[in-house]
Amino acid sequence: MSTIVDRLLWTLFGDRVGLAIFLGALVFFAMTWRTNFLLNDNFTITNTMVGLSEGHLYIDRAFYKSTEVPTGGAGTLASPGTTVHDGRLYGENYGQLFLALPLLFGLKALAAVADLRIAVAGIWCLLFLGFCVQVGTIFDRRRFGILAGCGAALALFVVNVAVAPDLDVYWIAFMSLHSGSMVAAGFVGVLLHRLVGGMYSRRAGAFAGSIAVLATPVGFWAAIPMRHATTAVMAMASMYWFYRSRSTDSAAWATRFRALAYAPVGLTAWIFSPEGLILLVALVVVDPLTARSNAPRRLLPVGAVLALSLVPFFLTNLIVSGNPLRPPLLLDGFTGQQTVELAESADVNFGDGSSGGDAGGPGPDDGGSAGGGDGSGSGERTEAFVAAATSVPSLVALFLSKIAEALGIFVTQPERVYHTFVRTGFVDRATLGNGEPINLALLEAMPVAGVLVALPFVAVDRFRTVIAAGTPTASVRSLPRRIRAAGRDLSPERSTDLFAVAYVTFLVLSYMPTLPLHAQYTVRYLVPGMPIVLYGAFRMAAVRRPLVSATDAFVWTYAGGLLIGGQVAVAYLAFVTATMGEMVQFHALLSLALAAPLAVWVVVSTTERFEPDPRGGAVLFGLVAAATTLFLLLAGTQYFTSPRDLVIPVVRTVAREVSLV
Amino acid sequence: MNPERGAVYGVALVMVLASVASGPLVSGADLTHEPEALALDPGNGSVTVTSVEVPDDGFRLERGKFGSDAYYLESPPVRVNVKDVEGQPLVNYKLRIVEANVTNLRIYFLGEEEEEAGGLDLKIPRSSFEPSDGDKDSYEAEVIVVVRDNKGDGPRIVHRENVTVEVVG
Repeated sequence: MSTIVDRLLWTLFGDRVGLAIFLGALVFFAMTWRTNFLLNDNFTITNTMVGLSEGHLYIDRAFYKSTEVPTGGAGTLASPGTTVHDGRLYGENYGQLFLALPLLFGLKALAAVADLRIAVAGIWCLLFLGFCVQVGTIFDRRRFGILAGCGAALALFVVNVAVAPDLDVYWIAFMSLHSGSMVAAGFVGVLLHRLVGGMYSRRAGAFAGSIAVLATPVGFWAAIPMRHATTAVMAMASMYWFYRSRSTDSAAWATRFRALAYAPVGLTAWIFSPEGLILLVALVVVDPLTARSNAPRRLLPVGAVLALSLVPFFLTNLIVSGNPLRPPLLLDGFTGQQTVELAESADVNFGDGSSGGDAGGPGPDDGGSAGGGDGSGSGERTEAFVAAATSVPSLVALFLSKIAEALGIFVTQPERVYHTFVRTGFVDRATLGNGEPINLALLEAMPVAGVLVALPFVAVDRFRTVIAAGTPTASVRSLPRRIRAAGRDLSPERSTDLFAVAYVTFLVLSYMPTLPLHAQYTVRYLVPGMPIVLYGAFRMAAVRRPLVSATDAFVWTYAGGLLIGGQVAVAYLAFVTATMGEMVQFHALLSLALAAPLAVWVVVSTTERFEPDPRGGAVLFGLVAAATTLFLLLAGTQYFTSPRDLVIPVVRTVAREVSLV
Repeated sequence: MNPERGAVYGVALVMVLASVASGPLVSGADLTHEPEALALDPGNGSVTVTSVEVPDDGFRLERGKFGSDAYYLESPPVRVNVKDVEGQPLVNYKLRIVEANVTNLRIYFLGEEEEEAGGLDLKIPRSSFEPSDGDKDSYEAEVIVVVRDNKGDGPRIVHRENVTVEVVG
């Protein structure tokens, strides 16, 4: 028994560090877990989830309704992403909803026998205990870890119970989506740890995984019912298996892992088809080029897994639209005007004491940030687009035209690139209507990404080596063969780099035509690429060295920065009475101010002119990570929520005391 | 069973027991409390407004902090003197800037506290404006104070006054 559990655990998490990262990530993400709506899109998928829990794919009533939409009846359901077909309403992100379905039944079962709020608080405390036990064991202080963890968990639980308000079972469908998303975001950290750990050392992996959890926008989207954390883990899984297929010695395992790398393609398409396509293109471009062998018997399993992974996607499309290649995303947008079939009663029974649809929890949070919709508005959903997306050659044409458009933007509208990646500020396109500058650019939301400016310096070095080794006189006719040969000879790490570059490039180019956009918060469209960007950072010795060799300096700076610096920042923001938009911009400037010296340090360290003290880099890393963690915590408990709606009682109480907005 | 394992199981057991005891299977025990009510009976009651004092200046559009580029409306407190507060009447404070097509509204619930103090200060929370709104030197605005209670039919305007919003920065 115990060995089966052990094997399952190690298959999922790799080692104890992976498990600790996962448990710690869940504890961290749950601190921002809240029962309110950030974006109007949330209504679409949560109402679809309610339908799914009753065994159908359509939406038949506004179980969760926006208090901002005054029209009654069907008009309430006209949130972005809702589509109509044959008189039925459909939602989006079906793959994500299906993955969360077991959690919904779990929460329902829990609510049937226990007090939901107390049980959730108890689970949170147990996760914390588990984290303490794992950390204690990692540092050879198992006994201490267990006893201290037990004491802390018990104390936390008592405080939680003392301040716990009721939690309406009304929120179960909503909370199941959060839970699924948090688990997905936790695995982003685990997989990055395993990937970097496999390439270098366990300690480097531990840092990569922890930073993914604590200091990237993945954490922002973990406790929000949106697709971003889930599609991020899919891309990460694909990349991880891709690496394993290159690094294993066994040809059989290489094929198995290679096939596995394609499994997330279909699942991602099931969640959000354009991102599935992006992942597929990245794999198709890089995988055959760098594989050991493209013999039919090697490709067959790959094709089989890809086909199999697409089955749920095709089936869902078939049931909804009658066309396996036409996802709900490409149906007509629902405007509230079309005639649709709805249920008569708005009630659903999530267990005793369910107050049904009319309980009407708070609508989009008071911050007024819920105005925005997804970029996939009805404007994009033209007939031509639908026709294009349902046949393969025109799909390729569409993809290429998007990329051409994006490349055009890089040349002709560099300011849009600047506002997306470096500094948002107040961009008209990015605020539409609600006026507050609440969006962050990529570097503002993920300052650690600034170290990527050192990549060209690494690349120049490599390029010299390649030129020196190359034979540029060979004929052009042999070029494809030579490229293939070079690809096959690439090391596992280099092959994975190629995949990372391909994926991030296609992701950025696909979304660039719509960016910058309102309601992006942390450039959410690019979230699936962010852990991969972090991977890129960890490929540089100048990033790993300070963390691995001056770990103490990093840890102390991070803890001090978060605990002391965090309090100073909160006190300062309260003192200057900033509005929400201004506070978000404060974080933006703080991120940029800390990203710059870190980037400079890494560049200097990369050029190897002289060897800077690793403690300096570790301190800079600690500050950047602490600033990002602080933003994630304040965004999730203050700026973009009413503290009343937080799920974990003790966090809720503290957040209400702080009450910045 | 070793003591460490016992401690872990013990802690877990406490949590399970507490959750179940507070849950639907055990009647009579509930460890959670009702969330605090937001408002009791808004709009029901009555109030007499004796005077409203609107400062002449202090209404400003200021550039936002931390490079947020947007403009923010700063406004001085508007004093409303009241007596005979009963129940929970509402006072709506509106600041309308027709040229910028903006109306800012804040609703106040009156109660014993205002009765004792003899009045209250109305303040519009800092609210954001588009950067292009900062192109002008000033805006003409209107301050409107409305009372909602059970006296008369529906809301009544108790004060209306023109003010100038200066653009600063």
